[in-house]
Amino acid sequence: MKRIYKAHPLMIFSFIKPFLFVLIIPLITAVLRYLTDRRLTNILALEILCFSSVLLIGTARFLAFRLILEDDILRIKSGVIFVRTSDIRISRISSLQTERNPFDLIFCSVTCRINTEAGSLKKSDFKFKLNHRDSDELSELLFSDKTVSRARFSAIRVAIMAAATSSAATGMIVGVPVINRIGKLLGIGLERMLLDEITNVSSKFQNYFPPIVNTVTLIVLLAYAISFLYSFLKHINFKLSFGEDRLTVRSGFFVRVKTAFMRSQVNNVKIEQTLIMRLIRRYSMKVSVGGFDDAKSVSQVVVPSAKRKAILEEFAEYFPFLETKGRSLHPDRRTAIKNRFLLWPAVYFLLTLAASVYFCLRFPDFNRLIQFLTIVLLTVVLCYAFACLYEYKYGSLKLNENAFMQSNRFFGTRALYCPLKNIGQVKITRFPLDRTQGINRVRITVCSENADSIRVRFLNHRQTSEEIAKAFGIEEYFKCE
Amino acid sequence: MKTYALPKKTLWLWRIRAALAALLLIAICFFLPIPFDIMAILCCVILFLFCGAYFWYLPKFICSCRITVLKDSIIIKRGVIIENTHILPFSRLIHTLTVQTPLSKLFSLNMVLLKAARFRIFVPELSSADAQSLISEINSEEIYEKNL
Repeated sequence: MKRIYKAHPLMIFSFIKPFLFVLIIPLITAVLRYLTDRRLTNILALEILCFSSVLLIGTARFLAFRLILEDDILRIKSGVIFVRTSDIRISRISSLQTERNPFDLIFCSVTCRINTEAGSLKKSDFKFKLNHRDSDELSELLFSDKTVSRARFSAIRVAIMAAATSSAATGMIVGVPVINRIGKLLGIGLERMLLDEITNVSSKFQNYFPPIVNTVTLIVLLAYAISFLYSFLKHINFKLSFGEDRLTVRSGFFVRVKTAFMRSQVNNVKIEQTLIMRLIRRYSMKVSVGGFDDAKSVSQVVVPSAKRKAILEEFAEYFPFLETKGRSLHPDRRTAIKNRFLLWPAVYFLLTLAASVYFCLRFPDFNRLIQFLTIVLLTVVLCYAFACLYEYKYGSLKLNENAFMQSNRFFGTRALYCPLKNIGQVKITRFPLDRTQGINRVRITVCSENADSIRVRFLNHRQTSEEIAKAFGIEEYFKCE
Repeated sequence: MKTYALPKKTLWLWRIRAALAALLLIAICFFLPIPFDIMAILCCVILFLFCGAYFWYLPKFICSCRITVLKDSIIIKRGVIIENTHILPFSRLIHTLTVQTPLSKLFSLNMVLLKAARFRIFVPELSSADAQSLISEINSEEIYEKNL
């Protein structure tokens, strides 16, 4: 059966969107000026001409766009002068993502993203706008599979995940450009006003530390709040439905995102824990799907937050084919090895203390600020030591028909499951001291667009070599060694 | 199982590169607006590092490099102070790339880059014949069909 889909007219605006700031807004401003002051700028005629041609090209591109579904091939035709036709075998499609923002809700349109293993990182392979009904039909035809079960995650679980994964840095990255743009559009110094207000509020708090500390703390807290809100609104209304092989994830409040993919297309599953999640003993589960998403990450959250037992049960239910059996390798349980894990935190701890004492003696006027910075740095070092201890206790490597690796990642933890055939590279590193202690560090990288990798330190070298040789059928190499 | 080692010519190539790099750094030191004694210390450090690389590190590094082609994967082992072993299954290899610089062309050497999704492994300069043999072995019909 052959099905042909046309693009939604809103796609014209997607084509002219790149010219928004250089052409469209100046043109609107000029027209408004003409209507209010009866004054024409010299370049208005040129602007109108450029805008008309951009609009014309956009319309022609919209009319030329065709999506043809025939047997097991999806054909995407686009372009007017340079006509591009892409033929994709349906089995090669990794995921279909649909996104609906408030405008899409009004105009019954949907932004569709089709992803494959090919293509560039952090960019979806095909992006277009379809009618809402057409997109539903397309999703049904591409991933036709009866829904077996549905799960809905409460707002509290989403809030826990948002609180645990948000950071002040993300808040600044998201918030600062928005504030800057709003300020420019309104023609007022919004950043200056905001900073003055923060300084004013922070000066009301009297404590041992200097006022700058209060100001910085308030900025960090505000940025964290922005990041939390962004993450919460992105993941709220989190619903998961799965069929025999299909997995569909829905989330979002203002912008509703629906992602469908086949479980067999999953490259790897990650069970992660950030530092805050470690403190409240919660985990989140993510999957990495080929060429997925055009955001900063190419992984999809499957379970926002759950306790260890619950998340392992959910993992066994959704991805039973990724469970690993067999011998598990752990860091050697020796005091010398435990000390190696804590060596760098101890070095950083002593360096921080030494630097703090030096600066306190050198700059006595800034004593209170230096003390505050020392407390912050020492807390970071302690968190690092906490993460290193986790690696010593729970670091693990298991290779069978599937691979399982568990270790720390920055201050959090990560457990990674993937089929053995998906492993792209195994890197064994040995430092001089590792050679004398008979240990090594193993880094395994999954062959995917995301290239998720995990490093397990200080494993027994002989046992690791044996396991790797057995898993990859390279016994002869290690025998010769 | 077939093992490739780096030829002696690779050692000379890297020694020339190290010498050129040391000369360049010393030249930069001469042009820097710093006192003569600091410049002299910097030059001495550069010369010391160069001698270390020329007489100790580079010969050891070239000797440590071993490329082993097995029936399903390629293993590259190298390193003097930090020993690295890369295991790359053929099924995950996307393409191979050979690079020849004007200097390596003089020595008839080729550098090989093995490219998998989102990461690459670099094999230091092999003789052109060895590089060709390695690539043809990786791209052999038997391995290709097995990984299809």
